[in-house]
Amino acid sequence: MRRLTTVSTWTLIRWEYHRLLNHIRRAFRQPAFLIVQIISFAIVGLVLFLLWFMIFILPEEMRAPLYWLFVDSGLLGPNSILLVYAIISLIAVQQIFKALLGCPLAEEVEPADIDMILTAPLKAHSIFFAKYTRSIPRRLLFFVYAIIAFLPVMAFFSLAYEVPLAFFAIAIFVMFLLGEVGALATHSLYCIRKSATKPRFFSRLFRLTFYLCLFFSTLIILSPVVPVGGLGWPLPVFALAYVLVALCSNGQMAPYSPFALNVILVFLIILYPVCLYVARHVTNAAGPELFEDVITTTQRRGPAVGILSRIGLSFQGASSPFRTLIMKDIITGLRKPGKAFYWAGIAVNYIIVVILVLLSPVIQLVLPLPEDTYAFAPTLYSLLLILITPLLAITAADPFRGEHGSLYLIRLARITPIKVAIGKFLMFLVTPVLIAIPFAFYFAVILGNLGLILVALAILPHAVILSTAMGISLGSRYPYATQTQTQIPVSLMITYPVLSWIVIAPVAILLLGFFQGGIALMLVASLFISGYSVGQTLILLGLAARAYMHME
Amino acid sequence: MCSTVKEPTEDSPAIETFQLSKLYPHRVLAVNRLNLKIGRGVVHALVGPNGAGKTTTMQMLVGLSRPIRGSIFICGYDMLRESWEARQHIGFLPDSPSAYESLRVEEFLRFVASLYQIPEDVYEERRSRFVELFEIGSYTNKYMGALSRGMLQRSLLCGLLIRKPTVLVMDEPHYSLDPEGGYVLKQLFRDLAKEGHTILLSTHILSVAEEVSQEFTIISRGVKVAEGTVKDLRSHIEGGVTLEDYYISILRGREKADDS
Repeated sequence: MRRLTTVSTWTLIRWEYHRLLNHIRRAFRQPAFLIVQIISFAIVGLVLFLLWFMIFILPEEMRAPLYWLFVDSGLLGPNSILLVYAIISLIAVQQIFKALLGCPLAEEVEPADIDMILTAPLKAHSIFFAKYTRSIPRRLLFFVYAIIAFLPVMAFFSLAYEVPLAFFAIAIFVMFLLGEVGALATHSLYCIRKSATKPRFFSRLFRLTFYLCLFFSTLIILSPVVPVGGLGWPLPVFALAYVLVALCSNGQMAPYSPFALNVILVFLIILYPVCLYVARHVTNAAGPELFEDVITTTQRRGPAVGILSRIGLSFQGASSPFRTLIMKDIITGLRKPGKAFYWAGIAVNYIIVVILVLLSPVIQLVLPLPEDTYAFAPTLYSLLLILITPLLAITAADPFRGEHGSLYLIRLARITPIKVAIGKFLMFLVTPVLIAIPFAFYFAVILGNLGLILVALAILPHAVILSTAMGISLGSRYPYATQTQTQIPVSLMITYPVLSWIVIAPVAILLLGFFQGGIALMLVASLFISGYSVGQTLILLGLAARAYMHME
Repeated sequence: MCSTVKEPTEDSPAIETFQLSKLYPHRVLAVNRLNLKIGRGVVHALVGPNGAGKTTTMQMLVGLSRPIRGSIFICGYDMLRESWEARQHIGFLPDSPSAYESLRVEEFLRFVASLYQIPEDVYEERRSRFVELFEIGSYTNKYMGALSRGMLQRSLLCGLLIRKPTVLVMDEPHYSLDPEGGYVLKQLFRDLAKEGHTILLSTHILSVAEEVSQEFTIISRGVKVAEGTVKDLRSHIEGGVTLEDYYISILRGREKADDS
């Protein structure tokens, strides 16, 4: 007999972090990465600065219209809270769908894990906790971004309504814990689903239970109050929204709200270790094969399973090389890892928009909005536009990801570079446009005026189109610049900031509140921006084509 | 964490499978009732055409994939019931190896040592031996993501051998190696076999199987069609019939039997 030693969970966690830090270190050595980060922060910083300047610094006589725009219009009122509430609900529902369709740890596992970790004598829970712990910094970073973004709003509340900052600290902590509990719960559901699929009877029973849970969870999330024993008990997400709505509407907390928040906090603090224990138990029950399943599924079909494979798409070819390229891009784009989840998310977005539109008369009845709130729309759109632009540009900035073979095929087929650029542009455009449209509907419906949908649709896609073209024009330079090492800093350092500001500045100036706008002005602005964005898009695609011409 | 396990008995075969079967979705039977018995200290080649089920068999042997039927024993441990113990004795090199791109080669080797709790002095001794053998000394400070395919293969082999598992399962180990690397590997196989290690390698290159291994199993469409020693194999070759001719005739005979 001998003692058999195995690696501890902590050792695995240490190595996960070691790799993460190496990854960050490598990324920071890339000038392109640094520049993108700096510009993204600069843009967010600019927005925060403008908000701060307009709310706190501008003299009263100059501030009046802007102050009205930001405060009386509802930007800091119930509307924005309802908006936040809608978005949180949406995310919650999407999380449930993710649990149903996808692999919760898909973003944390790597193909190398199969060869290295899964063949090692490890307990399944060690692998899970290593991966889960590694994912925490990513979520924390997201929270830091959120806190920074809401800082001016929190400062405004603190000053205007004398709300202690501790309240916000608790609220943020509650939100973070909610996310953690959600992450553990989705993983546990996945484990149960995987470990229960073997015997047929239990598989069916489990699926039935799972779908029932899904149905009731969705109902609970979409219904603001659960009546128990004659009392309304708001669920965590709604309790937060209620607290903030009460704060915004009359400057005081609702009678139950501080109690509700504290109860939620205590509840989550108790629930979190329970969820940890359950996750550990069900992970071990599912066994290490679970991760092989996650990895192979992610590699083969993306984090969402079985949705797109059921869509009867097949590659037929087309009458011209360009159309063949577009067809190929559509087919492979749809089959790429992660895309199925996007499409499921978009589908959920559209379903919720339909529900919101149907409910809009009720919303207006319950929460009648002053007509002044219309002015709130362009501000919010422009904020979104400014925040969304660099993010979308980054998303589109690698047109050849996983498609290194395409370049040779394109060259052999003699497709002109401009057609390659347009093809890639169209491919990248589809998803963000589909996401942008429901957002436009949200704003319009939540503001209680469906007429704003037209305005929203006129304005919002500009950000999407421009940022996608920007991403393509920059991304097309990567392979070229990588070959001639010195080109990276020169081309990207000059082009990215210049293009970013050229794209964003006029839109920001026009819409961010320097001009107080009614609907008429917004429409004029959108017409102006249409010409502007078409011109910019053509220039950017031309730049991309030029880069393709020089590629080897 | 520690637990007590029984030592594997020396007389138990290195690898033994009974009626091993694997069914993929859409009713694709990748492996069908495969029986293998591979002793200690031999190099055994699993030979077969593309899609024969070699990789699936190897993945089941190392515990990456669960069979729908059958059992697997590694050094006497049941891979399905005593997977934790069985994994201690087995090492795997996949056909298209992935690497942790954000780890340097040196860090990767340390990672393996840490994962399998190899004592520091043993690690240092093995590290210097295999790093020198595979000539990756000048690459140890490079990120694995920046290595060429051949160098990556050498580094992964080095990581595998640092563990010195009793049973080494290697899927197409020669695939990315240059002639010199291939030569080193062949020599190493012989040395390891002499030290008592068992090597199961898959290949569809007959000359590699013939040159390196003492035993072979030919599989086609998930079914074993021939097995024996290389000497047995050679005994079938007479009068201008090459090893390749013999192999092809076995496979075609099997395919005809399946089709009829």
